[in-house]
Amino acid sequence: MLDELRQTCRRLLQDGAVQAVIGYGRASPDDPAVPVFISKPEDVDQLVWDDRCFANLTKYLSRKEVLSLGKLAICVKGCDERALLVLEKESQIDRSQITVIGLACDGVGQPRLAKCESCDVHMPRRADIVVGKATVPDADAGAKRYAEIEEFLKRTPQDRMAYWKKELSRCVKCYACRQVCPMCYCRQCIVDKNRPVSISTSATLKGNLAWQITRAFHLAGRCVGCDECTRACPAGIDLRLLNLSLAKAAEENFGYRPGMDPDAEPIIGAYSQQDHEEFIR
Amino acid sequence: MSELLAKKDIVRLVDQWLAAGRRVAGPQCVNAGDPHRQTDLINYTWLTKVEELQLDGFVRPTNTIKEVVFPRHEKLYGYEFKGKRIELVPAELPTAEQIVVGARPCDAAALHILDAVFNWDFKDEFYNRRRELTTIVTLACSKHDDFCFCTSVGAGPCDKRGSDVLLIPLDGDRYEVRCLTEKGQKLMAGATTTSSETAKEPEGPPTRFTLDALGEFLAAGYDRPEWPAVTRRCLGCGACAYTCPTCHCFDIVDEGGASGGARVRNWDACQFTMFTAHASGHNPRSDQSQRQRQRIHHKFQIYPDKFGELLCTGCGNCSRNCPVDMGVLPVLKTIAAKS
Amino acid sequence: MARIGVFICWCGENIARNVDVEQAATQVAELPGVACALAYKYMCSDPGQSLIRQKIASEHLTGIVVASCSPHMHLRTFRKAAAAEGLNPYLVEMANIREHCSWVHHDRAEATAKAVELIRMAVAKVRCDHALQPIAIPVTRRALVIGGGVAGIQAALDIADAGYQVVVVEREPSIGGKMAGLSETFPTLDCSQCILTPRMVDVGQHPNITLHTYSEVESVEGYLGNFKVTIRKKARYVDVAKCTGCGQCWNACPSKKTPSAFDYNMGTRTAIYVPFPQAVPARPVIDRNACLHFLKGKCGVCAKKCQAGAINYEDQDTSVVEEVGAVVVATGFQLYQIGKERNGDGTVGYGEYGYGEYPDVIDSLQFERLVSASGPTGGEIRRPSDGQVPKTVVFISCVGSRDNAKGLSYCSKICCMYTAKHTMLYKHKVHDGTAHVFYMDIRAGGKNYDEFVRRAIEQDGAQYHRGRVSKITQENGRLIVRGVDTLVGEPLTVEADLVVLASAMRPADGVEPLAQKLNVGYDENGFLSESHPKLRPVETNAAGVFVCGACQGPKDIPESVAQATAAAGKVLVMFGHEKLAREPEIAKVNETNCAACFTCVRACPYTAIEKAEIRDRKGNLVKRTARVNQGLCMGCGTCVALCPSKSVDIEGFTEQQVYAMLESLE
Repeated sequence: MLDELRQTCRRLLQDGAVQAVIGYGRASPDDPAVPVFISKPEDVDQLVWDDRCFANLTKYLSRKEVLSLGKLAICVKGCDERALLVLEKESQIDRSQITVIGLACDGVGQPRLAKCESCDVHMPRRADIVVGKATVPDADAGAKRYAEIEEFLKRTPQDRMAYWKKELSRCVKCYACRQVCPMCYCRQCIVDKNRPVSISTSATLKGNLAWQITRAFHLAGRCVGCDECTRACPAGIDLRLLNLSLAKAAEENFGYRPGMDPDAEPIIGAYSQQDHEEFIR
Repeated sequence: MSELLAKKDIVRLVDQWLAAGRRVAGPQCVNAGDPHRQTDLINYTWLTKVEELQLDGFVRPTNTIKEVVFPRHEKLYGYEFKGKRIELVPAELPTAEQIVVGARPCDAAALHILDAVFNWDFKDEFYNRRRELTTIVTLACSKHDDFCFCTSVGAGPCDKRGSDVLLIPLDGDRYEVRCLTEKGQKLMAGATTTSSETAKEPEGPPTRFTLDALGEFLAAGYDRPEWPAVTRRCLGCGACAYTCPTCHCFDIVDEGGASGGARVRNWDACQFTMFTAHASGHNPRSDQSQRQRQRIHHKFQIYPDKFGELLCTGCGNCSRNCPVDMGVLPVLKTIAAKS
Repeated sequence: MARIGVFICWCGENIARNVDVEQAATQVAELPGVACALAYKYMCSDPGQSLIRQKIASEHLTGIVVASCSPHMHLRTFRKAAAAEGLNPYLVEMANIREHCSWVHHDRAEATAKAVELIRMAVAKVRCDHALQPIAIPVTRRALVIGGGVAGIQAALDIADAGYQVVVVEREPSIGGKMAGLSETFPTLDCSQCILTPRMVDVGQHPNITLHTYSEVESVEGYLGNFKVTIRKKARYVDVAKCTGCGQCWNACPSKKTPSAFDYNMGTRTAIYVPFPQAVPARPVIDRNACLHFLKGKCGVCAKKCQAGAINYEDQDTSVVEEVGAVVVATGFQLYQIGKERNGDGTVGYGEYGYGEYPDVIDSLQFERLVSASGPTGGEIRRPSDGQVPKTVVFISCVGSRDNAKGLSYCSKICCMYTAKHTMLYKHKVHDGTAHVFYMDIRAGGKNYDEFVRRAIEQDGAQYHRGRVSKITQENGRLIVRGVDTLVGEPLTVEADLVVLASAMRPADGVEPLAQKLNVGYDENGFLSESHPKLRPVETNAAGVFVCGACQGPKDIPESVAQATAAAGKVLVMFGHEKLAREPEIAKVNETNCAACFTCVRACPYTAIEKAEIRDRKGNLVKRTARVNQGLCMGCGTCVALCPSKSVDIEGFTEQQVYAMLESLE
């Protein structure tokens, strides 16, 4: 599959169809895979693909340092490809200008990351070129989607609040979670505004709670569960749990999973006459 | 002649210090018992009981000890609005003694390096007060990983800078104790046993690059064309800066309402887009490659030119914590190779 | 450096009774940014306003707070005073310490403390105010009237007579609406067509009116003063320019059996037809579904007979785009379809009345056609089943109206009056007949209305029974009407020859998609929503779109005509200016910061936000951004709430102001 990938990218660059390929590379076998940007056909041998290719490369489609390279091809796993669809719906990318190389994936990480246990997109769904063959997802993989949050929700509210206070007191406001997230593309994040100050920038419990809760809400109905935020956090905070709870709310209340259906309208800002209205009394 | 200490004695000492009301920080597994965790997270934190202390079994903690002298959030002073007048309320400086036990030498050396900038054109009383109150017991590293490069930047597993007491591991769960300062001697007084055994100083990681090669590249000019390609994958978060033992930039903000508030300082990172944003809207470092370039120059050229020490102890935290495995090491290796 | 002036009003003793205004003035003088604070008996009076103006000048004020009554009363007054002294009127804020304070709290200490807090908030707000200018929108001084019934006709004539161009769109082949099909109108018993057709002719001939009949509005773009409306003109298959309306074609047409919609299926018409003889325009249309040429490729008689060569079987639908500045919606009503259960429209039919089953059970509009001189029976009242003259007629009121169980909870307003009228018209034609009316109440609230009903009862002998009808059955060709007379206290069964049901008035078919195209709201019954039921009955919340007539709610002809003139008046107010001034307290996007996710565009209830591009001088795209249309935005703030990066804000009500107000309350 790696050969197929490298050949595909070599061809794309040689034909001039793209000016740069965003993919995974590695300096030496023991190093983790890192994002690489290949502009020359002879460099495609730098590309790698294995179960340590964690990064969600779609973030780079919002970075001007990468957009300046010209027409792009991008390697995406199934989970990353969902992010592409959300970006398209939110007018951040012009899909017709990007060559999407889908990588068939059976899961990353040793042991496999939590998100891979319930993955139902082993094969990226809307790629221009698909490389490799993945296994078919388990029939019940999708049903396990919210298992962790359902388990967590069995704890009492006091218990859960104590948990989050403990976890979030470690947050240092490095914003690694925001910077790796493809959905965080605002030119100036709300936390960086001070007229008015909506969220304290201080890494105190108050400032951290405000930041993480706001970010989770801004991702409601948009987060595709790539879990890069959880992996990136140097303070080991389980952001996956927070995002899962809102993803569950979006699916249960509106039947919506971001990045799955090209015809579905994003749920923030759209409405249908069938929407629940229990809050109107 | 040397002084020795057994591990169980360290445990007893820490217990005593805690009981005497001193604040003690050390490495701790902070997510023990969390069902969701995939790996252990070892951080330096304030200990509530000695059982929390974990001296070994890992390369180095994920965070650094700079927090004990340079907290991530610190009140500088308060202010109150009384009608049309404003009254300032000075902050209370801490008075409790602080001890850090089990610090890595790269973390302690960083404090020594930072002393210069915090006492340069302005003597930072907050930093200095905390520094005076702190005694640091370092533990020489018996392990390193591929991210460590202390030996390439003039540091090492037995670096003495910034340390008050250096412990070097000996077999049988014992340490050779070297008191490097008066503070250290005072702390250890009577706790050690004399011996003729000395510990072998660990070697540390192989050299990853030479400072000469690096210096040549940096001295050859600011606008080198290599910067964009070598820094392209950086996403501009602050993980490297905040887990770096020597990074010390801060942002001062007012937090309050109509009746008053406090002027505080928070950590800041040069990789944030907003770091050099002007009120006019202009940003002299609007590209990530410019920000990365500035970071390397600051640590390896500007700071040493001014203060005589590199602003880096090769701990490797930046690369370890970087979501895309950047930090400074890959950049240094690449640009040193270009000279 | 802020220099705010605070002016606290005693309002006589309205405020001062419960709020110690002098003490409040002393306290607020201490607030940061306040240059002067004083109290006065009547701030809105001339001396009060002069006081404000003096202080603006002498204290070099940069903003003022007036603490008095609700801004609805005098915000405009104080803004004018500030402007007169050279202070931008949008640097004026009010603290409502009357309706929100002195009128609802009676403990003086508490009320004073609250008043001080309200003023503190207003001071925090005004300190963040920016000078703003009203927004000037250009206006195309042409109007569109949708619907050619009596309301549409009246509105069109009023605007056209004032000298402006009007486009009238009517989906039937002729204007006239329901009124053209009525016999006589209450309370005068004027012949309906006689009073309407002169107006219709005026519309057809008016130099300022462009009439598109047999046409529908397809799409509406644009906003207040600048609408672009696409109208689809359906194919008539007759060239109206050549046709003279001589009638040879419809007289010769062999296809004569199509039920006539104008006669509510009580009569028939030809395939090529005008709906009624007085149609405007007097030009026929061909019904493809009845025409032998279209169905079988035969006939063609009309083309042969036509001496003007006006028949055109190849005619196609066409589109025309009209640019107008105002739209008047006058789409009128239809009757509630009685009969058995109907799915999907939330109403349950009155199957028990046998409508649709027994041919002699008809509704009120069908009865009008029977009575009409131009109707299918030439004005003779005859039973549809056997053509006999009915000697006993039962009229049933409130069929469908005022009935929560069946789905329409409102009163249709006109039925009591027209039922009385129907009894009179019946009795005037069938002198020996008996008219029974089963009613719940009599609603006759207009001028001479109650007298009219009295006349029906006392002079023309209509028999009124207060009670409802449970069931109608048919036996031996007669209708057995089982009801009750609650005033007598007994059930009452009437054997009738004809039953007329006063069916509920509903908005015309297809009004909801039209309303959505215009961004006009409508209620659960489909009636279009006015801006305010008492004070703004002909405006809608879509700026530049007005409503009149039965589409807004059940009403009779005098009210429809009055509303039509009112709507025309509102249009003429608009057209009285070359540019319209709108209040600037609307949304504005920070285009540098906007990430162009367009969530706001999706969410805006007024479709007031556009997707825009910013290009450099060479035409290269620099960035995309959302941009607020200043003509459409109503300042609701939905976009501000949704924007994740807070790149959009309401001028004069910014997030910073809201936070400042809240923080000032500590």
